[in-house]
Amino acid sequence: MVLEMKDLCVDFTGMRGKVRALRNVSLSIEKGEVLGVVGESGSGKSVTALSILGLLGSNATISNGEISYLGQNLLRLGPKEMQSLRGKKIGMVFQEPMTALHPTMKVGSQLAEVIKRHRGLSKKQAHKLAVEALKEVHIHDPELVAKKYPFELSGGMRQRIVIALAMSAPPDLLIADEPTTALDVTIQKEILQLIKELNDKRGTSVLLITHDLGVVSSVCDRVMVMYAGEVVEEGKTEEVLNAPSHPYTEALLHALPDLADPEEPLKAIPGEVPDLQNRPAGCAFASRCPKAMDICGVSVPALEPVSKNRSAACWLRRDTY
Amino acid sequence: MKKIIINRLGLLIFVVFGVTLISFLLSHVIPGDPARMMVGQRANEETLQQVRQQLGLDQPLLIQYETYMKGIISGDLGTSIRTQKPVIDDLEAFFPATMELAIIAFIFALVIGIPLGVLAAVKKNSFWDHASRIFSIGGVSTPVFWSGLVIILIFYGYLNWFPANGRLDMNIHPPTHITGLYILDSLLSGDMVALKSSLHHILLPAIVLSYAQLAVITRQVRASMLEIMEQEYIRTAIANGIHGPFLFFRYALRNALIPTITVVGISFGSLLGGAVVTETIFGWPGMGKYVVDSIAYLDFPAMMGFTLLIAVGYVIINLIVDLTYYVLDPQIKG
Ligand SMILES: Nc1ncnc2c1ncn2[C@@H]1O[C@H](COP(=O)(O)OP(=O)(O)OP(=O)(O)O)[C@@H](O)[C@H]1O
Ligand code: SF4
Ligand SMILES: [Mg+2]
Repeated sequence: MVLEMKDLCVDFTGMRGKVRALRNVSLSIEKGEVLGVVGESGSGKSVTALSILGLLGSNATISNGEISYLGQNLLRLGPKEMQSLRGKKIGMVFQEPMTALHPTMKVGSQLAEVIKRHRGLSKKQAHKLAVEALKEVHIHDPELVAKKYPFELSGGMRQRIVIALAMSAPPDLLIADEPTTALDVTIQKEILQLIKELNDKRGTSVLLITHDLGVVSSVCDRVMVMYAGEVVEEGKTEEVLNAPSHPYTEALLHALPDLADPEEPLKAIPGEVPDLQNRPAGCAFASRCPKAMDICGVSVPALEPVSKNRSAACWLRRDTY
Repeated sequence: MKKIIINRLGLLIFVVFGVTLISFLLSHVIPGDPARMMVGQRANEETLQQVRQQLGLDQPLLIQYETYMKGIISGDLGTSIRTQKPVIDDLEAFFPATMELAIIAFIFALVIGIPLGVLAAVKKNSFWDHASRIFSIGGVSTPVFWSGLVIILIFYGYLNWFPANGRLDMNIHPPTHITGLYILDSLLSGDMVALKSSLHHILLPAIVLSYAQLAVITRQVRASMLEIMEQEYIRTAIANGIHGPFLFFRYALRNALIPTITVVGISFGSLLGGAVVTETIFGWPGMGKYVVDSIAYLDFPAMMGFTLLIAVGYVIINLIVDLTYYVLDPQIKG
């Protein structure tokens, strides 16, 4: 197990008081595995990712749970130990390549600084490796690109560079938070391929956040579905996508654009995500769930195994396994 | 780059024209008669008229202005009524002292102000942040004549660690004249005695002069650092393991300095202007003292020359500010 998260609860303190953004989130990633995290906007995907590297803002508190990396509890690390872990053992790629790079530093220098830090090399050696790193992410003419500023490059190029930065150590785990959302469709494919290739070639585990089930089906070994700060279903990708256990996963699949009939408008899931400030009692999805029963509005269903490789948090699935 | 320079030099022409026009008109509406100042109260009307003629004051206003502008173009700012020497020579004699004081004060303001601003931002709401805030408020709200006198009282009056007058000790010769900046000249000519004495003399007035600017720079650096630290590329850098002073200075400060430069440029202009009071308090033989003496004497050519010099100085500073932007921000092209 490379990474294991157990019952993580994260609260944000804001103007309107405390909000629980994550409620008992658990996940695990094996070596070389790609775990997909899906869910609508605001379901807590980014908070989950940021909590791993200790990048949540000062208004966040982790009030419960455990995150362990290769058996080491990350929540107990001091600032020094956490700093030496970031980028070196666990790399991270963010959604917005346009703003993720330093605007007034040449991309080669940005890479070299990070490489120098991770491997304790001289400036010159680091620059050489920086060019190598650009080659690894399939940038043609890496010497030339190394001398460019981010604003001189396209979004796809920048995202490759952000990935090169995150992979430079190289880390055991790559966290990618919607790495393709801001890109054109053709570029999206290339970036996903690149991530998959790095995963295959180096055995890097990947935590891939997306709200695109198509992305999940093409690159993820396992998938975890989040709703309102909770994990509602988790399992092998084909199984979850072919036969979802949770009504929310089902609804997500239903809302997928029909590739055979592109004319048909996107089907949105009816209803709204509950306000985390006033989370309803019982199942968070109850107000939108077509199969809701009496118990759903009263008591929260726990995430429990429903088959060999699958867990779900739904009263419908209790006692089936 | 060329465009910036040409642009600013074009501006220079307008500024020179505008500033001379205004200062010229002002000098003629202000009550007071320079010719009377020169000849004294008891001179008769005939002498007075003679002096008027000599100074060209009997000519129509437009002709006087034309004569003045022609002079400026050929590098002649007129003759000082008080010293009877060409104004340009006087400025040349006094300007280096002011420049030296302003430069040293500026260096203090930058060297202390920038790290203090970074510290205040990085340790936001900590003891250091509050201490730097109080220090800064002190800087902008303490008038120079007061802080100058207090510092003289302590370091000269009680402790007697530093002199309170002039650029050098009485018994020391100025270094060989190269630039007129004593510190630089004594370094260039290897005159250690003059170097030591001029450093000793410049310290107190430079600290007093820099205090207000230091405060402004500190606040500006703090504000832009806080803004930059929220940027996504800083989060990327942190996620990639960059941290500590390296993150603050190499990654954040560089961009935080971009909005600070304008403030810094204006600040240097204010230093030149603010030198007037500081020089008077510390008996610093610079332009400030020269212009104060000139005002007392209604020496209009001298005052106008000084005004023009400061205005040109501002334009040049603006040019330097623009060029610095150009260097710091690769996105500005052209
Ligand atoms: N810094 C913060 N301060 C306060 N609340 C926050 C903060 N960051 C996230 N939240 C709250 O936590 C919840 C989960 O946010 P998160 O960013 O993890 O969603 P997400 O699943 O990544 O959504 P998206 O698909 O839009 O990126 C949201 O309700 C959000 O309001
Ligand atoms: S627990 Fe009830 S409301 Fe929630 S998803 Fe299952 S059936 Fe629907
Ligand atoms: Mg997100």
